[in-house]
Amino acid sequence: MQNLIISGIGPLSPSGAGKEKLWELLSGSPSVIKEITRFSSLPGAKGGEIADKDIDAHIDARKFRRAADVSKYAMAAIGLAINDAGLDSVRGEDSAMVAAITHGALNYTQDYHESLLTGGVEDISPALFSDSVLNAPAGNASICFGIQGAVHTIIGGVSASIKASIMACRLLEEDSIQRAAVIATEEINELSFYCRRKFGESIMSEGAGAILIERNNGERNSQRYCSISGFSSYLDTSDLDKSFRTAVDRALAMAGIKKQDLNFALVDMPPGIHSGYLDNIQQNSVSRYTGNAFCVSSIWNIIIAAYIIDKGFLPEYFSETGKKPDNADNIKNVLVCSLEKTGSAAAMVLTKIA
Amino acid sequence: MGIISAHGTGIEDNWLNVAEGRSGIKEIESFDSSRYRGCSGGEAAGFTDTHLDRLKNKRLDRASLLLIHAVREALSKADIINSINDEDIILSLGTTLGGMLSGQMFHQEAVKKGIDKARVSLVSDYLAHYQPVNIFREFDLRGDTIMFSDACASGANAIGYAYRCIGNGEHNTAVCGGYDTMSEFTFAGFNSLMAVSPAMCRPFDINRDGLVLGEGAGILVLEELRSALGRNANIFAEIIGYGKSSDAYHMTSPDPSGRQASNAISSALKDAGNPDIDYINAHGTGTKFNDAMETAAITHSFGDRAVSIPVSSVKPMIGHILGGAGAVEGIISILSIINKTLPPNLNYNTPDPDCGLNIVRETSSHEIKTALSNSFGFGGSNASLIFREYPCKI
Repeated sequence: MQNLIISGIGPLSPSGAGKEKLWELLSGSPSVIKEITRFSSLPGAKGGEIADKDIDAHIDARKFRRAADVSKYAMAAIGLAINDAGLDSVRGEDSAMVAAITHGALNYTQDYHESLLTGGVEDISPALFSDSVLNAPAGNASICFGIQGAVHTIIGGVSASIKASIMACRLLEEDSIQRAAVIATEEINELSFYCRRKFGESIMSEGAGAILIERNNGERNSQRYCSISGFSSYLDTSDLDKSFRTAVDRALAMAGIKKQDLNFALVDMPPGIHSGYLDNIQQNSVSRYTGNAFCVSSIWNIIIAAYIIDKGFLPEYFSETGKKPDNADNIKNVLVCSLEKTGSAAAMVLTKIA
Repeated sequence: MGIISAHGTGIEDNWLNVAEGRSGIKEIESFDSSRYRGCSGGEAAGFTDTHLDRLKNKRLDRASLLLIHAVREALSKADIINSINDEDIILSLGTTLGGMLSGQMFHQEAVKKGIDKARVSLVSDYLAHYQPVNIFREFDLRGDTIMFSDACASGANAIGYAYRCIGNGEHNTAVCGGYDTMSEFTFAGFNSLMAVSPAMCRPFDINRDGLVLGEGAGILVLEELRSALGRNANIFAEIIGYGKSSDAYHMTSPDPSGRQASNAISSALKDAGNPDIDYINAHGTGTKFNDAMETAAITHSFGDRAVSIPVSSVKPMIGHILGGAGAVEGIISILSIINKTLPPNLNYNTPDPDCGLNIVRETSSHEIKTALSNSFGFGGSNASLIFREYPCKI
């Protein structure tokens, strides 16, 4: 595999826009998990909402004012990642994009169904339909940023962002492109909140995250957070632990390291499921502090893993001592991995650039 | 290969109906379409259920049932239905809306009865990433899955991805394709965009006024050539080229210049080693903008040769299967190669000067060695695949 690096990160989380806000959330900031304001039909529902939906600060959004929140979040996150990478633009055929989606624009979908059922055909806004299709965030973002290389949307649960990142690495290997953006985006919706609560998940979240992946060829004096040294995804519906172990082992093998070489792991598991496979590795997850944002949870994990490697130390809530170490340069390999209750597992190893 | 469409269930029925130039477009039966601008579509009306070995039908969306049936046919035709679980495979699928019929039912119940009365059991197969899981469970598979939702280019991209996975040696066997069902949600949506024809789908005709929707699934088994030869497999065709791009132009309208669609075609041609193309299975939706754009793209990619290559769209026969279109039409392209027969572009009566291509009016014999299949979707997603006869006699 070519030497691929993460050169820009852009989280839009309930703690705010940008990497510093996400880091602060994991370093002693007050909790962002509060009573949901989006809807009132589920009293006591708690989660991490995006407080500031004005994305004009991040992109020229006038053209997209009618877009669904998932699309707006995606565009804001990519704008943040592009700025973070020190790029003026990603316009053109040498940029690609892969989006991860779990539910998509559920609020528009819900409004659309309601319009159709209560008002009839004439009552439907075409925008509610076109912006509720699953690839709308990727479509809107590609238009917003002029991305004309391959643009894909990968559907999945928490593993989808890792799979989308793997896809982006493949595109850099196979296509004549300079960079690939990976985005994940989700929005809180009352129906999905209701269903997830029935399935035993009580705290939801929303937002987006984006990373930029480039070749580490020194052509651009770019920000370089870390290299992507290994990845894998696997599904065995009959044996969840085997799925998880296989994905992790293959990612480690690709990176040329062993489990004990990992300094930290960011792990997302479904409620009530535990794999002992990484028990000896210090681990945590952003979603513990934001609520479950599905595919976005794992892009936030990738983003914070890259930032941890760049900074050389863990944020306070992730650290066993709770303090910045004296030798802030001892984090070399971080694993980001996930397992879904279907058995779908994915893993990615991020490594300090030598 | 495995296929379900308005032309029936299975390769043989589908090809017979395509070659005879029949239309499977009828008035929609699964819901009341009388209040819409167009009221017809290509439903897979003959398909009601499928045999299940491991899963239970009760909670499966029609999308999963279509998919399971098509996968079973593809695995049987490839003669690997009893050995597919001996190795790790890649399952690469594309859809636009996943299990939308279940989703629609859930939303309806929530609106009519209240959120706490809506059946949560409907939700799991609503989500598009549950359909590949159902395939893994039904056929006891292991390996990896990827689920594309690139609008109408989903199926083509799923095949292209699988082709790359085989090409780079990552997997020995891939099961790939696309699917979508007919739902009122989708039907009403395309109607609201004024994209549905009130009369008939007539791609490239000057009087074209919109698309008709369809439903179905197309599944291909891809295998590395030496492996297929080693087990004496019945090889239908080779995939030799794949290209993709994005318009970055508009969410629902294609870039009229066709520049990025042309880039997808040209990338596929380059990937295939620039072979002569004997037939183009067009995306050909029958909308004003798509067909003019596709003409521009084909002209840009092929130059002077564009006017001589036979072109047809099968959407007037089976409708637009959205995420399944690239896969179903890819299979029809392969069957055209095998049968050396050009499928007709039904309802093409008055040529449009803006669509100056060699449109196939009637079924005809033709020495097809290579076929290009185009898929262009919402959000500006473009994908092209090139298939070649096997054994190649070029």
